[in-house]
Amino acid sequence: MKHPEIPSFIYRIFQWFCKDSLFEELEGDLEEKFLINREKYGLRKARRIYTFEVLKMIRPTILKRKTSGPSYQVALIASYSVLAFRNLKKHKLFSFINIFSLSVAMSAGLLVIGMITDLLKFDTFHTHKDEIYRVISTPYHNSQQYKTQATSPLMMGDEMLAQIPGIQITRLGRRLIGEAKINEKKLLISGIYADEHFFDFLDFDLLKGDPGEALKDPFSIVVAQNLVNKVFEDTNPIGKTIAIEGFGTYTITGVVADPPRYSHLQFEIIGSISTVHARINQGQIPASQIGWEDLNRFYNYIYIPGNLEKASVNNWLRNATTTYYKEPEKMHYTFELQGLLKILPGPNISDSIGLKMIHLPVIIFAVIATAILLSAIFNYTNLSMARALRRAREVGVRKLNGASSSAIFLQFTLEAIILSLLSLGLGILLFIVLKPEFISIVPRANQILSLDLNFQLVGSFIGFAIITGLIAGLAPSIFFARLSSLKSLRSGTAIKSLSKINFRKGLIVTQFTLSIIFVLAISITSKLHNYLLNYEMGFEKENILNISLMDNDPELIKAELMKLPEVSDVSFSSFIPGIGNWGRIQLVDSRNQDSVWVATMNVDHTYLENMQIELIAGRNFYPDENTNQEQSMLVNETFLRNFGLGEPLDAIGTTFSFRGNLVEIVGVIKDFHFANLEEKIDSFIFRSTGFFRVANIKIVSNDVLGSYKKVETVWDTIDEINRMEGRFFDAEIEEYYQILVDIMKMFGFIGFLAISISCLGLFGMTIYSTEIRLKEIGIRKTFGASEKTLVFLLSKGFLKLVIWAIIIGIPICYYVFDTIILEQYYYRIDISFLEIAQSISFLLFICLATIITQTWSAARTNPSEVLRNE
Amino acid sequence: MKGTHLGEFQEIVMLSILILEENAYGVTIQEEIDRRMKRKTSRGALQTALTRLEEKGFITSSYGEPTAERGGRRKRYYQVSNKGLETLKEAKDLRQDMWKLIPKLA
Repeated sequence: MKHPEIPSFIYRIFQWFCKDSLFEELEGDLEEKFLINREKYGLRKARRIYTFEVLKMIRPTILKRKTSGPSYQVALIASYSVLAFRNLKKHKLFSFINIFSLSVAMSAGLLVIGMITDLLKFDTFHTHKDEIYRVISTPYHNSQQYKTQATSPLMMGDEMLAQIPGIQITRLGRRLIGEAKINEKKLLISGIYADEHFFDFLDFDLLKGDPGEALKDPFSIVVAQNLVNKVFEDTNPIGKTIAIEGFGTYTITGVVADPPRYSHLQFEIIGSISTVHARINQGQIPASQIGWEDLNRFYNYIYIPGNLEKASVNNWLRNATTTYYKEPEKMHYTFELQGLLKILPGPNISDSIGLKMIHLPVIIFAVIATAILLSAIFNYTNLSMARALRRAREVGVRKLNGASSSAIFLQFTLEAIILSLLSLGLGILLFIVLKPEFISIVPRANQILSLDLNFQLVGSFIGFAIITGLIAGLAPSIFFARLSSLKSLRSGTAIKSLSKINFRKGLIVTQFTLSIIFVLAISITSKLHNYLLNYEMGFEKENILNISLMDNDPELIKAELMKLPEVSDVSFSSFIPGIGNWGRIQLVDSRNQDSVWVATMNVDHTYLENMQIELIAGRNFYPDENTNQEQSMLVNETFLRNFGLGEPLDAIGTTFSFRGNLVEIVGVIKDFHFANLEEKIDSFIFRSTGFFRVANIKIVSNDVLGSYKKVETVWDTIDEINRMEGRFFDAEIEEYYQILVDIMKMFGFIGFLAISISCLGLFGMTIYSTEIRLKEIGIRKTFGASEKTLVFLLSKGFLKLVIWAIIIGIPICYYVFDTIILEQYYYRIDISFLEIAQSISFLLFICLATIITQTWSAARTNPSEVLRNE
Repeated sequence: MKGTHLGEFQEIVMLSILILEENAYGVTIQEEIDRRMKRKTSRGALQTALTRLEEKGFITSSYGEPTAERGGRRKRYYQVSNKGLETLKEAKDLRQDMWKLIPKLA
């Protein structure tokens, strides 16, 4: 044995790497030398010298060499594989529980791997992907920061190019979308604007046309191959024209290959951005659109070769705020660069161009999948160690016959990996089944994720399964490898103390903590969803059918629809309230010339009545009151409070000016939720200038579907091109909060996985531990213990673990929901005792059912059967 | 370079074993070398030399009785074999011959 003053860690390392044949001699020498050195230099230096001596022992003559050749290794692995299969076959319950839980958990992991693989592919096809950036901007109004936008001023590109040498810029615009007439065919097309530098550094292939010229002149357009195939068939499209309603007539100057699937920019057509300037000159769109104040249409993509000028670009952008905004306290923007690869997946910014996917769902899914997978891994670890009793003998005999610790380690690791690979097979099947459902749950995923199985993906799945197996097998492998043959061959009682009871208990508690978190999460989300859907929004949402007007004459539609007996009234509005979008307008207070942004919505005079929004003072709009000159508006109660206008009646007659008109408050309406329940109700005005996008049709029939069909028939007589886009208001609001249903579905699915995995584990553990105690039960029974007390005795330990899990899990879940998720909603619920009690009783019920089925049958066994042999 | 080649350090190890006579084992050899050469050698480096010498058949070794001071571990004593002795002498002769050929220093 080693001298106690020798550092034991170093000693063990030495023991580990030193050839067995040399160890006795060398260790003896080292120890003798250590003692001499201790006399000479003192303990500390002697220890240090010892450590260095050991380190210097690391040389080929001393290092352990693998005694076995490669063929021996292969044979060993082959033999262990066979053994692993035999073991799996023999212990069917064990194998079933593990394969089932691992494959279920793995399918969640596979979905996340697939999702991440898909997302990482985005925009990597550009050669200069690491040197391309876009400018993003953050608005500040009245010193308040608003959400960052992906847009930047169109003019910015020119100025930057002139001032910073060595960079390239292409400017893009969004929403070139509309009904188009091409080659005598009518269809809806969508695309973007771009300037002539578009093809300079972005790797989209121009198949026909001159890349430097195609997008130069106003009203030129480049069309994608797919559209060409659809419309022109074999004829040459160059020189033909496309008329896009609301955007003018364009001449085709080029054909571009369809954008790759993994490109965040997607388009059927690319219009030249000089068209925008031309249309401004023609007076068709306001010049403010391309300036520094109103920026939500254009994008600057910058190529900085070798990233050399990145510092000067950043610098320029920082200075731009002070250069271009003369009254920064009123309004200004700050600008920064966003790397091309950081766009998708990227931060949640508004006004994006093309596809968008934020980090949050990826992170959430990754965390959840890891949690589930860990749960399944714990099952394996737990059950393997619980089986220690059975397998210890095997290991003992193996070791006595000369198996080294590392061979035992290899055997158990291999067993875990084989099991994990088997689960992968089932997991991939589940993956395929769950794929469509998953894509529908992830927000905006349908265009972005394909999750197609390909060679690479399957490769990473296999890697994933092997790693899972390694992790799952680690603890049992170490445990069995370290088992001494002597102890393991003695009676089973010695093992029990060895099998790390506390470790296993810890794993079970972790599993059930996860389970209770998910159960409570479902309960809370469902309550929130119910609350939001039934919230009194302050307006009528039953029996209202909202249809999109699409440039049709509102009066004509109204006249035709009113002929239907099912329709009682039709009103018009600029948008649909309550689902998170609203307009904003800058008002100037006539009293002190302060200008303030308020939310606004354009409606006609029948809107209030139709939507049952209560007017508490003053009057409604008169028909066509503001068509020629805007002079009246309605405000909400919050408006009165924010502007200090006193009582509703007092406020009538106060004037504000906007866009050069003096407008009077003619009425005050009761506060209603024009935005959504995430936002507090803010100052709001109703305008009535005849700018409408939506018709709100009040249906008085009970036959909802039939009425919808009738409205559709009327629509078809008015608009021959477009199909009607209509939705019932309550359905629309329901859809808006659909995200909560999706979250619930997700939690439900994951909770189901977590609970079934944990319960399977618990089930297995109960079986093994009652099996060990069968004799004890027999003896207790003979001495008169009742079945009830026995069940209680056997279940007690497990129940305690579940209760611990509840004690840990509930506060975690409560905290997460209370401070993060529910905080998103200004009008929110509080988590009550009811939800907590429901979740606890649900989990307890399931656990009890799992435990008691096993303990009950154990308690009922006839003692004579188990004790006969004693 | 196996075969009969003798490295400088290996030569010194063999000479040390010869000097120590019956008491040549790891620690004493190491100390002998340290003392004579006035430098620190590690036990690991020594072990490499010993292994090589034994492979060439220049030295032989045998275990002694376990002693308490080494935690009950046996010492391994080294002896120079006849083959080793001859090689040492050859090396010495070779050097002496060469020394004689140097004109001025002779």
